[in-house]
Amino acid sequence: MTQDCPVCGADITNNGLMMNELVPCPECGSDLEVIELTPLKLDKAPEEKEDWGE
Amino acid sequence: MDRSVELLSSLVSIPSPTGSTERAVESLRAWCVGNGMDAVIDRGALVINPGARDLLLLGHIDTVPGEVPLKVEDGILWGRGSVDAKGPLCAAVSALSELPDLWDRVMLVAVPDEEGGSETAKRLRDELPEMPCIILEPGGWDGITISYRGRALFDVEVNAPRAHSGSNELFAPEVAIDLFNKLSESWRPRVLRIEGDQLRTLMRLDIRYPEDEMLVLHEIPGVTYHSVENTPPYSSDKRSPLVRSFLGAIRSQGGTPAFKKKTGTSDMNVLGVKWKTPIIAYGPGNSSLDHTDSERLDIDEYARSTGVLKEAVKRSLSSS
Repeated sequence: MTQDCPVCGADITNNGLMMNELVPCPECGSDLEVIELTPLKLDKAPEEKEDWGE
Repeated sequence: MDRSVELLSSLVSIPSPTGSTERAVESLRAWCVGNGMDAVIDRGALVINPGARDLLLLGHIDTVPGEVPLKVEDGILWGRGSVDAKGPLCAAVSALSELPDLWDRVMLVAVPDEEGGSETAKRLRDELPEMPCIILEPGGWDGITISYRGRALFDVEVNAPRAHSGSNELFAPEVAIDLFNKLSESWRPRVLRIEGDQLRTLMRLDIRYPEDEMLVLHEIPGVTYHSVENTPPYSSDKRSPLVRSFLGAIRSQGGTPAFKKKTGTSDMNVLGVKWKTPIIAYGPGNSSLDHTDSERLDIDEYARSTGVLKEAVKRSLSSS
């Protein structure tokens, strides 16, 4: 089962991926999050934001 | 009032600046025991489920000094420590109280000195076996904190030769100001104190630095540096099972998760120096209110974060 990378369109195969797992796209290196397993659906991983404080 | 909000309200109503935390610790211990949990006080810290070894929830019950009176108005709870960090602590205690099947696996520690040297966190780091850890600090109910900056605290000593006011020679305070300006080109140094005269000036600086940048101090004639404390930066692995558990938990509560990289430091830095297990920080509240006279917490956000913590703890232990 494959899914296109939402950033570059490369095919990504489900090799035992888990729900909410973060995986790098093998083509563009973008961090992606598994948001559905069946059928496999990937989205860009959450953004990193700088935040003040403890 | 919801029992979880009652707990928070009660704990915020007890002032607990570092060094005066006994009443707050005893109050929280009594609440835990009243709700069936095993809770003991060990060297000033409250330890809930002391025998558990699969997951550590680490919060702090001390606050910075300065009163912010407790009031609840329009769904907002005001009070010193509501954000930093009694809100995150009470959310976790409430969540844990609703997970009795996991009490033999999840330990929660409320330390009394995070705002004053973190000696208890250092001791826990050295005494406990390593286990995944959730640091209870504010980052928003849908935020997962994955890194904290390091902190370099050091004294700058400037010695300058005696010179006439009409000469071009710099006085010691002027050399210190020049150095501060140079450091400000790359960093955001904070001057914690400055004293002296035209021959000798002492300046204490606090610089927060991220993991991927090196702090370089300029070599200047007459200037010497004395390190007071260096807390290394810490970054968590975003691909860890603990992060995965929080991503799923936040989405299960209808949220869109975000990763937070903090400019401050916390006990995550202390544990991360040694522990190789996953560590993240989580908790409700806007951390820009930390230490301010406007500390307040949205009660709805507090309730959501309690739900996220409960779900994340369950998920992290079912995947381990």
